[in-house]
This record gives sequence, C-alpha cells and structure tokens, in this order.
Amino acid sequence: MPALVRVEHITKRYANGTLAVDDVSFCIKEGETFSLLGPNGAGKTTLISMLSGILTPTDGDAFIGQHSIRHAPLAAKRLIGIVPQDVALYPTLTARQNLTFWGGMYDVHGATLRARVEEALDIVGLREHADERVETFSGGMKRRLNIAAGLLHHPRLLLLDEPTVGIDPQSRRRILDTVKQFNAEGMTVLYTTHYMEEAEELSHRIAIMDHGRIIALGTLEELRHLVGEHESVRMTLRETVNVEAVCEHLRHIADIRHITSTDHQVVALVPDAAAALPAIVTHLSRYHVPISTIEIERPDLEAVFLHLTGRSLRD
Amino acid sequence: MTKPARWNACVPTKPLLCSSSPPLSHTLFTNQPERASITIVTNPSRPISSTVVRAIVARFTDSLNLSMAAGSLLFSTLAQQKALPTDETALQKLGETWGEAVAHAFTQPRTSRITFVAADEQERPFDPMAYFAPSMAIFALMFTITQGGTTLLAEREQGTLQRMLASPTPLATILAGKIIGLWLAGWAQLAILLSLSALLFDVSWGNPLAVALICFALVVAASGWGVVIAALARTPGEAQTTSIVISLLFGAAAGHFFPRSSLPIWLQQASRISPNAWGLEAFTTLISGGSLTSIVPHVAALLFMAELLFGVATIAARRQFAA
Ligand SMILES: Nc1ncnc2c1ncn2[C@@H]1O[C@H](COP(=O)(O)OP(=O)(O)OP(=O)(O)O)[C@@H](O)[C@H]1O
Ligand SMILES: [Mg+2]
Repeated sequence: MPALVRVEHITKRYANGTLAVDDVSFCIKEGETFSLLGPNGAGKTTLISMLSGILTPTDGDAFIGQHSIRHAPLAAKRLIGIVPQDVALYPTLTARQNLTFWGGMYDVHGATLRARVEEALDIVGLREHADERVETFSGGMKRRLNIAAGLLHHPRLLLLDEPTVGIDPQSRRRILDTVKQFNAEGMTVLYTTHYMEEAEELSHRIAIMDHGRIIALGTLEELRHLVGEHESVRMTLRETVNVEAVCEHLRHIADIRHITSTDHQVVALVPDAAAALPAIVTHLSRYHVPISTIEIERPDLEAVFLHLTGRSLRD
Repeated sequence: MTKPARWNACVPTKPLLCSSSPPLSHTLFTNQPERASITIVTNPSRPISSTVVRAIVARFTDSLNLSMAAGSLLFSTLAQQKALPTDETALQKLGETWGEAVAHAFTQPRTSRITFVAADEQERPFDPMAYFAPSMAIFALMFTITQGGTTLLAEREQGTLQRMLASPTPLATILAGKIIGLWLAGWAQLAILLSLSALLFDVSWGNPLAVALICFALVVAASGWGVVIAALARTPGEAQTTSIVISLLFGAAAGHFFPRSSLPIWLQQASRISPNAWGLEAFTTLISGGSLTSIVPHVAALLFMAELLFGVATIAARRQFAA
C-alpha cells in the first residue's frame, strides 16, 4: 500500500516560544487507521492542525496524496476531512443547515450535497434531529454532528481529534463503531486520543507522542515488545488505604521494575507475574493492606507509556 | 445645562413699522428711550435651534438700529439743507406720509429689497433634518459595521473559522465573503435610512450618483475600522466594547449631536480620522446643493482611509495568527 500521508520533520514553535511539535516524521498507509496517543499537551492537536492547513509549520513539510501542505495546500485539503477537537458548528443553525454550509465549503453543491447531507445525518444517527438548532443538542449529539460535517465530501483521509472526549458511553460506542466502519470501507483515518483502549481497539498502528515528539511507533504488538516480557499486576485497594505508602513498601520487592498508582489502584511492572505475585501478597499482608482485587495483564499502551516516560498516560 | 438660557434685546416699545399708518415722529426716540425686552426661552438640549432663534433676534434688532440710523440721517440732512418745512403741522404731515410710504413698501413683497444670495446658489431655508438625517444614518451605520468584525472573532472562538481554514476554500474567498456580506448589510442600511428620511422628512439628498458614491465609500471606510478592531481585539467581547466606544467617540467628534464648529479646533481636526466627519460633510454638501465634483475629495479621503485601515488590519492579523 502506498503512503497517503507522509510527514517529514515537521516542527511547530508557537509565537510564545512553546515547541509544541518537535521534528516529527511518519507515514500513514492508504486504508490504515493510525492513532496518535499522548497525554494532554503532547502536541496532537498542533500536529493535526498543521496537516489540515490551519497552522503553518515552523519547519518541515507534510504530503497528503502527493500534495505538499506548504506548496499545494488547497489540493491537500480536498483529500482531508477534519473533525476538530472542539465542536466547530454554528449553534443557531439547524443540523441540516450546518451540514449544507460545510458541504458548500468543500465544493459539494446541489443534488449531490442534499444527498450527502442525508447520508451523513444517517451515519451519525441524527436524522430525527436534522431540523433542530445545534444549540439545543446534547454534548454527544454535537460531537456526532461535528463528525458528520467532516464527511460530506467523502474524504480519503479523515482526521479525528479526540472525538470521544467528555461524552456518554453510548455516543462513544457509536463513534468508535462509525470509525471502524469508515475504515472498513477504505477510508484512511488519523485518530488522536489519550484513551489507550480506543487506540488499542481501532488502530493498525499507533504513535505515542509526548512533549511534541513521537517516542514510539508501531503496531500494538510491536509496542508491547518495547516493554519487554513484562507483565503488569494491577491491584485495586480499599478506599481507606494510603496508596502512596503502599507503593513505598512495594518498591522494596526486587522483581518490581516499575510502579505507578492511580486513585485506588497500584500497577506494578514485573518480568513474570506468577513468580512475583507471592512476594507482593506477602508484603501487602505484612502491612495489613486490604486488597479488593488483583489482576494480571499483558502490557498495554499504558505500560508502554510508563516504560518509556516513567509517567502515567492519564496523569 | 438644565436652566433655560435667556437673552435680552433692547427695542423701542412702540413698533417701528406697522401696517396702520405709523407717524414718523413715533419712530424717533424722544427724550429717554423706553425699554422693552424680548425674552427667548430655549431648550438646552436643542442647541442648534436656540442658536438660530438668537441669530434671528439679533438680525431683527440690527435692522431696527439700521433703519433708525438711516431715518435720522435723512432727516437731519434735509434739515441742514433747509429742505424741510419749518411749519409744525406741515412737518407732522410730511412725517406721517413718509411713514405710511415706508410701511407700505415693507408690506409689499420684495420691492427692491436686497437679499443675500451667493453666486451659484439658490436660497434655501435652514432645515435641521438636512443635518440630522445624515448624522443619524452615519452614526447607526458605524455601529453596525464596526461590530461586523466581531463575527470573525466569534467564529474563531467557536472554532468555525479554523474549520473554514481547513477547507479547500481559499482564505481570500472566506474573508472577501465576510467583508462583502458586511458591505451589503451597510449599503442596505443606508439605503433604508436615506429613503425613509426622504419620504418622511422631505430630505432631498441631491445627485443620486453622488449619494451612491458617498454610501459606497462610507461603508468601505467603516468596514476598515471594523477589521482593524477585529484584528487587534482578542475576544468578541473586547471587539464589541471597542466598536461601541469608537462609534460613540467618532459620532460625538464628527458632530452628529452638536455642530462640529462648536468643538475645539484640535478635536475638529482629529475627527478627520473618522469616516463620520467626511461622510457628514459630504452629505451636507450635497444636500445644500453641492455637485458631484464637490464631494469627490470626501469620497477619495474615505477610500484612502479604508485602504490604510485594511493594511493595518492585515499586518495585525498576521501577528495574531502567527501566535
Ligand atoms: N495557540 C497556542 N499558543 C501557544 N501555545 C500553544 C497554543 N496551542 C497549544 N499550545 C501549547 O502547545 C502544546 C501542545 O498543545 P496541543 O493542543 O497540540 O496538545 P494536545 O496533545 O492536543 O493536548 P490535548 O490532549 O489536551 O488536546 C501545549 O503545551 C500547549 O500549551
Ligand atoms: Mg488536543
């Protein structure tokens, strides 16, 4: 498969000096779903904004099809459908009016436009609300319409910037299924998220971004390999427990390579979970730490991120 | 400004000229003149009309004084030349006949009176609407147009501007669409206000081509201020406040509420940076009979102003976008 997207040493330094994207290069193959996974402020939106022509790169270039975003931006933009992180619609217009407007901005007109609007409304399941003003929509409905507005010109490349942030589980499920369906129909998708489960579920390949750089790139399997043969032991503790203190105790166990905590969970990275488990349990019972559950997991992207940065993905 | 202003003018109690045979002797002061006063009570919120009434009264007293001086001079010359009858009754008779003749002459319309008409100009009555109609039209226009730039900022805030930038529609087309939309709104507004004031208040705006030219240039210049505000402001709220303040300041400085000539000279000069001053002057020039060529400088000034402002806005917007 030829590459549909080729990013070459792209860099963005904002006027205030922030280096948001730092010399990033990668390719996305035609028909691939490619995820950019990174914590808040990693530079995902900045990167997507450069690819879609909203921001000019400080350095480097990117090609969509064969079109440079610097030198043939309009041709590049024709291939791209964008779904911005923040809902970008006219609140006082109805759903249908919004879609008609955005279709027009992409040179879709007349009967084709009318048909595409109906099609997009169906895809995101908003046909019954087509003639209601967007300001009356729930957050999930707005996000779905936000996606529909990126589909009207049948783009070859769909850029989705954290399309599931802050919405209810049903809407989220629907969006993920829609993305999978697009991809099944041959659309190339660039999906940014800071939810590792979404990246794991959707993507052929994943790039992990941190502080403006891509720190790892590959298939889920390849990324897991980065962590080595490690497994994680996830312990859920009673709510009364001082998680920090527990981590301190556990650090004395030689087998534990890495340890992080979130809320009432402690995750320990170990070479062999079965071998390490007795020591962990003994340790915890010595300090009378009440445990609710213990799970053993193969390394996930969380573990990868932890391994690479020493920090948790969802701080 | 709450107290009504008063002016007193000193006039003789006996009317100088009235239609029923006024004896000439009564027109001349004997002994001490008796005093009478005309009191003008004016509404302080209508400074123009009070100025006008004051001027009329001043002219009236002036013409009285002039008539009296002329009469005295005539009779004293005649007396010196011994051309007057010495007999008391004959003198009385002469005075009465003369008085009657003069009164008759004055009641007769336009018997060889001198009227002040400047060359190339027709006499026009002072019509306050001819001043206020253009003032209000321009004032309202500035509000609408300078706030037009706010929509661009609102679009940036709601992300639709960025989404447009990501579409294959060129930036120039997007901006041109916004600006032309704004211009159309401005022209429509002026067309409505001008036609209404023509219909309701009988304002005759003058040469239609010249009016169209002024409207064109005025809207374009006003939109220049709109885009400068939009380019410099950071939020729609900030832009809105700025445009309201600017519209009010320009309106006041350009003399929409009271004549510009009553403002300090420096402010009169400074108000030239507003489209209001040029537009108002152009409209009033036309209304008072000016020709197409007489408003060309105003139109040129407005278009030059627009070009300058669009240049400033472009530079400012580049800075903001780079951020
Ligand atoms: N307009 C801007 N001016 C200056 N700095 C900016 C601007 N936009 C973003 N940044 C900075 O650039 C960095 C990357 O931001 P960006 O929005 O690309 O991150 P992100 O990965 O999309 O984060 P999130 O997951 O929160 O959306 C951050 O440090 C951010 O503060
Ligand atoms: Mg983002």
